[in-house]
Amino acid sequence: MGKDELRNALDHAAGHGPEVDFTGTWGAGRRMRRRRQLAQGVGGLALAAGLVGAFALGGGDLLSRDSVGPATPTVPDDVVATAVETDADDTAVTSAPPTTSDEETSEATAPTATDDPTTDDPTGTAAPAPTTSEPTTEPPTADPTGPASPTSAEPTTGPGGDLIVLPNPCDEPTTGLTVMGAPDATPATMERAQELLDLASTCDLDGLIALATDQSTTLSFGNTSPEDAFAGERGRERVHALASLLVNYPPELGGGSDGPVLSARWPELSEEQWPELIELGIATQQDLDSWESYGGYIGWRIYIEDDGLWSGMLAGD
Amino acid sequence: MNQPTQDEEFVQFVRARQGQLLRAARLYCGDPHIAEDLLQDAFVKLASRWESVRDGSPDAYVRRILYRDSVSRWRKWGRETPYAAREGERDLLDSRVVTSGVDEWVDGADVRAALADLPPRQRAVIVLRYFEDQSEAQIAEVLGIAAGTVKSQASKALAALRRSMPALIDAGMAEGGL
Repeated sequence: MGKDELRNALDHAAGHGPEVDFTGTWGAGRRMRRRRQLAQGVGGLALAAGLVGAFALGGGDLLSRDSVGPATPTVPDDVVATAVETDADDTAVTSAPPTTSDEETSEATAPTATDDPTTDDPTGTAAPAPTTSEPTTEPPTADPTGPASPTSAEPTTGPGGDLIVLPNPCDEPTTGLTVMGAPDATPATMERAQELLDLASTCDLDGLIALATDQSTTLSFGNTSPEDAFAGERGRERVHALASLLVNYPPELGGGSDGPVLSARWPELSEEQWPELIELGIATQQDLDSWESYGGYIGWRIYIEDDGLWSGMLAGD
Repeated sequence: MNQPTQDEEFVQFVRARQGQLLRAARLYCGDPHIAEDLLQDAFVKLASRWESVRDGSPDAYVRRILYRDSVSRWRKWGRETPYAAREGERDLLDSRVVTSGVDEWVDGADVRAALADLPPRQRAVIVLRYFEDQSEAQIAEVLGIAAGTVKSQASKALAALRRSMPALIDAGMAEGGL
């Protein structure tokens, strides 16, 4: 007994047919396509309207996402702050006595007063011209006793260089992160994902609970209310996973089978990437072992529909 | 001679492939009605992306959708025990009386039950390799995993099938993998 027998058995078990003609699915597929294009158009219009509105109100955050993120470490934790680097690359100034090498010091103390900081500013902001005596930004000093502020945390990259390792946002909130997208994801999906990332990375539990309540988001395989889902240690884990997955991995698209609306599911993750989740602090080796025995990833998954509906965040089987 | 229009190309593809893909879907989910739903959804999604898929491999695209949707369904509803109605009984949807013409389907119930006991990815590897005659590389592409993972999953699946169907799979095959 062997492969041929198995082939024959499968052939037999598959039955014969078809008894159904599927050639009529073309029309339904084209309607789905039009809905998707419509959703993309609506999302684009909403984005444009938001930008126009922000401009009309006198500014707001007009920076493009590309110019802001993705978040990268600006100052490693183990480096003593000796120089403050402003947004303008060529106008770095010192604010503390130099303790680094002469070469570093000379670079840090060499003001380029003739440079226009607005021309070389990679963020495109018209920052006030810095002086050599007064830094325009505060040195990133960590105060372990003080309350966590959204700008106090610095995400770090993992050994691979691309991984953004976030501290638990409920310990150290982080701002300015950009969600990892996919070319075919609709604007509505990406807007919702960015909103979730913004809420999660600042540990805005009230905002997450309100959104999940509004969207009737499925947060467990049982009946778990948004308040319960984001409560306690499990809630902190959920928030950490939400931010870490959205910022590090693209979504898998079109995997839904619950209707004509295509859905996006974060993360799209190969088995070789599973250990990264341990590094991110959102999974354990036991989790990986259970996924291996299960035969697939069943860790945290985030579901957002094409129209921007946050339909779920689940873990397990 | 006029080139076929997009919808004509799509219809030609569906007509040529629907039989084999429906049979594969039955092995994925173990139920003929659910298999029809899965394949219909897959063809609808294919039609919605026909422009970008038709010049590549629409066959692989549909296989990928079938696999993912069957896994999604499995995650949502859990393991199902395929049930094959006997002659004279009502079928699963109580829609028609089973006739003697489905004896063959009933006979295959043991194999489908053994497949249903496998985790979805192992099941997909077996179906793709031994029913669809796909290569390791093709299976890896459809499932989005490494070729080495295909081998390890196949090895585990064959070992499990040998436990449930020892008469069908001998020890050498179970140990030898793909």
